[in-house]
Amino acid sequence: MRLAIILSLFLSISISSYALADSGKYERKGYVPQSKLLKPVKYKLYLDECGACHFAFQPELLPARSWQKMMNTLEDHFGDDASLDEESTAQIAAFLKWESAEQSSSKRAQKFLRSIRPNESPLRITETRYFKDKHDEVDPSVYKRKSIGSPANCIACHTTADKGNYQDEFVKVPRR
Amino acid sequence: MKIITAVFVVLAIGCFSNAYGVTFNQEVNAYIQNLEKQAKQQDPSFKGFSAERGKQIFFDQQPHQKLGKISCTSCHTDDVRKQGKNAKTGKVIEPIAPSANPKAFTSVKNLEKWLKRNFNDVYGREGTAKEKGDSILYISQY
Ligand code: HEC
Ligand code: HEC
Ligand code: HEC
Repeated sequence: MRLAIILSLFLSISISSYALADSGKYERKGYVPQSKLLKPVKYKLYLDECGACHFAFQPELLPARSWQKMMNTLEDHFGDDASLDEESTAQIAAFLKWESAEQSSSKRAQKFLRSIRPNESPLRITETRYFKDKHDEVDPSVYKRKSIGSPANCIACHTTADKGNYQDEFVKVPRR
Repeated sequence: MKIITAVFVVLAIGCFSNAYGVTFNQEVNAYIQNLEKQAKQQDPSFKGFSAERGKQIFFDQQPHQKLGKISCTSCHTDDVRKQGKNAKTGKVIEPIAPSANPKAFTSVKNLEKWLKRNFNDVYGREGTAKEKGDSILYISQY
């Protein structure tokens, strides 16, 4: 029995090291520790309503107080009317509250959260210090490219953003 | 017998052609009839919706603070059968023509929500019943 375990361990190590040797700079691709991922959004009402005009941001990207402020001001949402009927508003507000950054065990979410001062309730993920630090090498003109349009269009560059995976090895900035 | 079957099929699908020869489900047809009533109340000389006027509404450009200019085509392109792109956020928008998107014009709630938002985007006000009907007629002929 023990032998079998040791053997299979050996086998899996040798297989994975083979894969590593083969893929060079992508050596870590495919394996991302759970702690670095955000929860992929599966809530349909949220995906439909808050994913209609832009990428459906994970609630873990902002603190509950930010979401609350946003849900109270949907008639003027960055210049757009994003208002919903009362029931949908209440349901989405509850979802955002219970899945917000404070509730997350993800290191990624905690980094976003820690970069926001306790007395601030930013409505933009893209204005948090953590976001700015991580994107300081992206020239502002890049966001203007046709297939990107805005720094808030996460999925244009983070090919796995909808899976909650923002790891740098999955970033592919479109050329145009 | 054949006629009965045909009637039955139409009933079962719940689709009725309206006076404009465009086919919608019952819910959307009732919505359009309601818009018609409102338009008549607001303007006694109203003679029915026009795809021609709808086209003008769809292509007419308005000044916009951030984008310079905006029209319905800024997000939906000049061909409603094609995929569009949200001019404000960069997100892809599925075609809104019924022939290219089976979900388009099937839910009044959705239709009302987007017409309200989109008229506000372009014209800075909610569209009138007449303008809404004209736009619907223009888009749904494709
Ligand atoms: C009618 C279109 C529309 C709808 C619906 C909508 N939004 Fe937005 N949202 C926008 C626009 C426009 C912006 C500004 C985008 C930009 O600057 O790139 C924005 C920006 C945001 C941002 C900030 C992005 C950043 O810069 O970090 C968040 C967060 C956000 N929306 C959340 C939501 C939530 C939650 C909902 C659902 C309740 C929602 N949105 C529904 C249009 C919409
Ligand atoms: C123009 C393309 C672009 C857009 C749009 C964009 N990012 Fe990024 N992002 C990058 C690049 C480039 C990096 C740095 C990758 C590296 O260091 O190799 C990065 C890094 C990150 C990182 C750190 C990754 C790591 O492995 O440490 C996070 C988290 C992140 N982005 C989140 C977001 C979120 C959330 C959004 C949307 C609100 C967004 N990004 C929008 C290009 C983009
Ligand atoms: C800022 C971008 C933008 C502009 C400008 C815009 N739309 Fe839209 N429109 C959208 C988005 C986003 C949707 C939702 C698409 C979806 O549900 O995936 C939509 C959906 C629609 C729908 C579909 C409703 C249904 O039944 O599904 C209609 C009709 C429509 N728009 C008409 C118009 C008209 C008429 C104008 C001009 C007065 C206009 N739009 C301008 C972004 C825009």
